[in-house]
Amino acid sequence: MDRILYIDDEADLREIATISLELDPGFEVRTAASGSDGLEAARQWQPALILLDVMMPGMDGPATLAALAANPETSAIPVVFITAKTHPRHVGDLKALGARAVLAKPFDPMTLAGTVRGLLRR
Amino acid sequence: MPTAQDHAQQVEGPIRPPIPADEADRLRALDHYRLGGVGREPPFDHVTQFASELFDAPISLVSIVGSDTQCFRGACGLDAADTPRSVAFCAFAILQSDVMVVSDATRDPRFRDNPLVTGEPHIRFYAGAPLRVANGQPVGTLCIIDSKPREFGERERLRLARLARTVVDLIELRVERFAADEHRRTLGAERQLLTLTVENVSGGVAVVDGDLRLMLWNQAFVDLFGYSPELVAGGGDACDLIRLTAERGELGPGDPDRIVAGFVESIRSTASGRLEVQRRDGRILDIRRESLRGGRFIMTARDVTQERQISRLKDELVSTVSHELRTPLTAISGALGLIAGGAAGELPEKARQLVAIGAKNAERLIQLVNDLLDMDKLQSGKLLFHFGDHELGPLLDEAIEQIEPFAHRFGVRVLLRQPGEPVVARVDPRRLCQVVTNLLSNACKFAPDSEVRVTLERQGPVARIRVADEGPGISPEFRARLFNRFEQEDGAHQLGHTGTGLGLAISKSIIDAHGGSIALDPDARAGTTFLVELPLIPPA
Repeated sequence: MDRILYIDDEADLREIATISLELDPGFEVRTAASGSDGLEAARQWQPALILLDVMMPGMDGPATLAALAANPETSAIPVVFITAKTHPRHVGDLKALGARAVLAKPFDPMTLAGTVRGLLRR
Repeated sequence: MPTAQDHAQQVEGPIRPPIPADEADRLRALDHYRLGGVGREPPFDHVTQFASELFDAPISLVSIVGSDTQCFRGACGLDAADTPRSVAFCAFAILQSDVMVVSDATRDPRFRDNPLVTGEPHIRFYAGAPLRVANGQPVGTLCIIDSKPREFGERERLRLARLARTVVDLIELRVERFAADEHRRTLGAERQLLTLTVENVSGGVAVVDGDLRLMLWNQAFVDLFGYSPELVAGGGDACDLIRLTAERGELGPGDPDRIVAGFVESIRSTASGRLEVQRRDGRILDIRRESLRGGRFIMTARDVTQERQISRLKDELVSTVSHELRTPLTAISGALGLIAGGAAGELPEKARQLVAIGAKNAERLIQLVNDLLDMDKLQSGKLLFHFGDHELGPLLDEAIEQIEPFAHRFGVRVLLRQPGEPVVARVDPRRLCQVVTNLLSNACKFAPDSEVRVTLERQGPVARIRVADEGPGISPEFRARLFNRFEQEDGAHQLGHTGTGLGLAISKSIIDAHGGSIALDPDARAGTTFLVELPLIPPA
């Protein structure tokens, strides 16, 4: 089973993303409601990939990514941003931070799992 | 012995001077040389003074013979300004090719009854050399007059004729001076108009000559850069101005002298330039340079601080609004999509229909947000294109596949016809798909339960994609507005056709960015046919 950690402050989206990702029977999904919760979950659970929302209160996506990268226990885990801000400037900035990819919201719930599976293989 | 004519003159008064055959041309010459009217001029006075002394004559005149009077432009020994032409000796003299000499007027039948002979100034002797201007017309004479009869030898005639040529030279110079004065006045007026115009332009304007000195500038230019009046007074050195701006650090980091040298090099080597300068006080200036003739150039400066702020705010607003809209839309469409996709198990028929309605409308909202964002990016030139050489056939297949579920809903069958050999063009595949699916979705909405034909063909140097439907067509009134933003044909909504009115505007912008064209096929006999043309990549 591949562990996927989804970090987003929106409870509805956490739920939908979980159901969407679990359409792939090879995925085990956990979620976190904040950047700091996500850091802790990543350190303890060691997921294969982290899906990370960008705009969150407190520790936002970029800050969370920086903290993940700074910690040797989590620095190797690939991170994929998932954001509603799809302005090319934003996307470019996010990729420059070291994200493996940037996915746009709204995502297609029926194909999200397939997309993530593809990113895992890269 | 007196002749019969003399007798008649004795009875009827002095003989009137004949009028030259080409008098009209002669009068035109007077106009051209501006010799009409009264008034003496010092250069002509000086000549008559000299003639008086040279020939020892009490009176000398530069006489201009007008239509009714002769006027004295220069005079020595006579106070009168003019006399009637009818009594003018000079009116006879202008008819001569050479100097006219009257040794004793009392013995000359033409003049003996002339009031200027019988009365003041009691003319006895007259010698007049015609003043022939450049076109040969005699405008008047240089003459000398004496109250005593006298002889005038050949040598004296020659001298008078020579002096007359000097007067003609003066007349020619005088008219050239008039032209020069007029030119100067016109230039002065034009410069005044230019200065006034430049001063009233809202932005800063400066014209710099080939030696990089300020020729013309307005107060706005000085104010925008914050230059002191002394620096520009009397046409400052443009290099000094650039150096000062560089020293303030407003032209980026680096040695001011090298920055100045870089600017001079750029001015010398390029016809135009554009630069944004951030002043120390935070203001942003948009500076443009355009070369003029003769090594000169014009610089314009505009304060774009507010424009930049508004643009940034708008970017932020669009970004924030789109985020705030997309988050709930993600949840709605995600939830509905999962249910419709069967992730939550089988649904009763009624529930399935309702979920489909919800999903369809969530899709519409997402499309609206996407269209608005695309339009915003296209307008601000921020939409990124990923161009590559692609075969168009497979791209059209892909677009048709994407639209298939939508077309199915409207009972539309999409047919593709393409040539056997590959048609390759330089395109952004995702954006081209967006255009084709947009055209296809329009066709589905307006021509339900029919066939929509997509044709790919080569047409000379272009690839032509034709999307033809069998719908009601587009009204002539709407055709002109078809590609405008937020335009939808009247009644489209009543017919249940939904859309943002942005699809075709976006499609046009995308095709424009490809260097292609999109238009209605004017030859289509029924329905609506869109033609998209893209430059072909020639086969290797």
